Amino acid sequence: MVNLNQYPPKNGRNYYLALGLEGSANKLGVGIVKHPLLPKHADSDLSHHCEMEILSNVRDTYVTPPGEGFLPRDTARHHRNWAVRLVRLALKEAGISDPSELDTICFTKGPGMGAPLHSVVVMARTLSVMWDVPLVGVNHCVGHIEMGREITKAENPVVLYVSGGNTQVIAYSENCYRIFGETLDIAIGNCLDRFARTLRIPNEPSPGYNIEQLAYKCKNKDCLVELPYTVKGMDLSMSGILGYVDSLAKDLFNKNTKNKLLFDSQTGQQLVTVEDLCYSLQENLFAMLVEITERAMAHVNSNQVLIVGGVGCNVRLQEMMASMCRDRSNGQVHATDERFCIDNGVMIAQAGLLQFRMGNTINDLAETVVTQKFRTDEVYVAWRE
Amino acid sequence: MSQEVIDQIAAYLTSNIPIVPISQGAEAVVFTTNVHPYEPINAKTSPNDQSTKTKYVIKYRPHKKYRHPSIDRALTKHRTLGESKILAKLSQLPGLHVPKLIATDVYNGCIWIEFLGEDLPDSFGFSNLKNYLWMHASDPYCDDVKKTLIKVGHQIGLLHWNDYCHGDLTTSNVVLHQDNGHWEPYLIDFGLGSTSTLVEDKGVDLYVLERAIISTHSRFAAKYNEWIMQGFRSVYEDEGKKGQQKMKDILKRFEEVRLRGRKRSMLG
Amino acid sequence: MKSVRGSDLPYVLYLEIPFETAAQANTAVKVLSPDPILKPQDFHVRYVADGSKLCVDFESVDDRVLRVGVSSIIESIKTVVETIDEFS
Repeated sequence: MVNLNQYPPKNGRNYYLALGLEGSANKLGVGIVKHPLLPKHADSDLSHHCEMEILSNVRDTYVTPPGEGFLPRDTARHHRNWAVRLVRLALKEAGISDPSELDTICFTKGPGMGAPLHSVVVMARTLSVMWDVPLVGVNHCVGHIEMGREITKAENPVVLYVSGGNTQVIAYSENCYRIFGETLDIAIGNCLDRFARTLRIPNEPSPGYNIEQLAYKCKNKDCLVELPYTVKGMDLSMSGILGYVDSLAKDLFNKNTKNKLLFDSQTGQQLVTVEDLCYSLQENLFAMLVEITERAMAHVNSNQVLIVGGVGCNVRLQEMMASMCRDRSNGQVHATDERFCIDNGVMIAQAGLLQFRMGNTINDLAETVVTQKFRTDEVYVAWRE
Repeated sequence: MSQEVIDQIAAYLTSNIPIVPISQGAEAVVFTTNVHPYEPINAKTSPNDQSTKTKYVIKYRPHKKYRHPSIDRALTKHRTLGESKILAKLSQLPGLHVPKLIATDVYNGCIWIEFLGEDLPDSFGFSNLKNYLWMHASDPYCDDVKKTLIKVGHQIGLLHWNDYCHGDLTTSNVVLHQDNGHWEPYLIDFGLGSTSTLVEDKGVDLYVLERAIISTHSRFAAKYNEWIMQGFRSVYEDEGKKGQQKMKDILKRFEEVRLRGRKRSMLG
Repeated sequence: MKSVRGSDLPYVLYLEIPFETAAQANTAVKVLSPDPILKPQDFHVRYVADGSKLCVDFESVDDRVLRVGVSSIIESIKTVVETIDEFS
């Protein structure tokens, strides 16, 4: 049993307040959450039933022009430009006039891009010193998991974490989110983003979303463009697939009629469209993700899946996962919508507040140094049994 | 197990071939049957009598609805073919014990193999290594266990020496079969198997087995793993200088894999 | 306060940034100090509060490294100043 109430809220209140700051990639998110102080949390395993209330959840995304990715320097500049304004807005939406009422300020310690992470932690430290509120450093991946658990109430799911920087299949065991499978090279979101760049489609609202929409428009769904399928046990690799589909797209744009996959060798007629490529890429990549997830489920004997991370909003991925689960006894899929799937401040506040309630706060600002590498399984998950 | 999957294979095999499901993994379902795919049915035994000694295993890769039909077809064929090929090749290697391949239908994802093992006494279950070690938990370091584990290591050594890797070496994937009153270990389930000259793959194989032993038989794991490695080394030691060098490389990588815990460190 | 040189790196810069109060200058020192320098053999920085002033000492192996290091730290100082401005 776990006692989440051993560190009571500030000023004798019967609820906790946490501010979460996220800026590990191109989204800057600020969220404020509230946990009621409930007797049931003193002796239970209910870290996914905190009865969390979201007081505010604001976000600003750094969007680059079509064909361009976001660079660390520019992203950090974006975050610096917006950070203070977003915190002001979040406090206003939450109706908090005196920020020293906050129990904790949670920031992303890693993993992510160094410069953007750093730009946010500088503000977090300043706020902490000014308001005299303790800091909590949160692992970005654990933030996604805890957010997903609280929103969906999935008790002990196998987690598929799919985003621009990560692709991991995770299951909890003995105070640790263990990684059962992961990408051996690039992340799924990175693969989709880079293909979107090759296609020069807009990065607004997100490159992956636009690929998803193009895939829906594919008129030739029976005829899949064959791509490499690179699952290795519970791991997968995606850089080869990206390289290959990129080369197909380039041949398509350059009207390279010598490519017999894309053009009829007799008439030179185009056989494959951009929409077909998007459809085939998604079908191929997602089949790989679902397969490794199913393998992990069989391994740990679980029948629940929780999909988190930006790519988790993809409806086709959710559908495929649901289809896999239907064929397993009592299989269930849990997913969240874009408010929570995509990086946000609330997830950092949620995971951070759990850490805070277990007494895991920062005493010395020297412990707030952010880190690009920070594996999910390095975190001691004190708030679960 | 989903009834739909069972119906799927029952329809494929027809009612002439009765099947009993024994396990379901993520990728395949395993059944037993007493019908041989092409030998004439023995008139004396009824096809519905599962107690007869001639048993066969059918490993079936069901159609996965979540993935596109053409991906599904390609994968089923590729993997069934791959597993059949590797089984066929391994059974040619002197000294190596794997189940004999009887028939394969790559388009329908179905392979027939020889049935190995038996039910252990006192309801300890099927005679895979895992249950066998449980059975001996009251006398964990007896001679029989030691001999068996050395033989297990020897089998893995042979596999690796011939540049094959198993890909999913767990204690459930080692089946013990009685041969003249002795337990002979057989490696089964080569669904993730491959030919590989990489020390990395071999190191991971050894690590995965070590973890499996530790997680299910933790109190005796140190000794058990020592015996397995004793058998493993003996294969390489018999191969002279070249063998010694290769073994050194594998053991070094094994140590590295153990330190980093299978996974390499990755940028966030 | 004068620049105090702690090593022999040849390229130096000394900055004084005025804050409204000594507490604010102290906050800035606390916030800026934790971050490690990537190449300590090429670049040094020291933060000290002198009354309501933040004093920053830079030393570097060459002018390019100095320029890059200084500009990145000034960005951080801007964030600190803006945060203090907005919330005090």
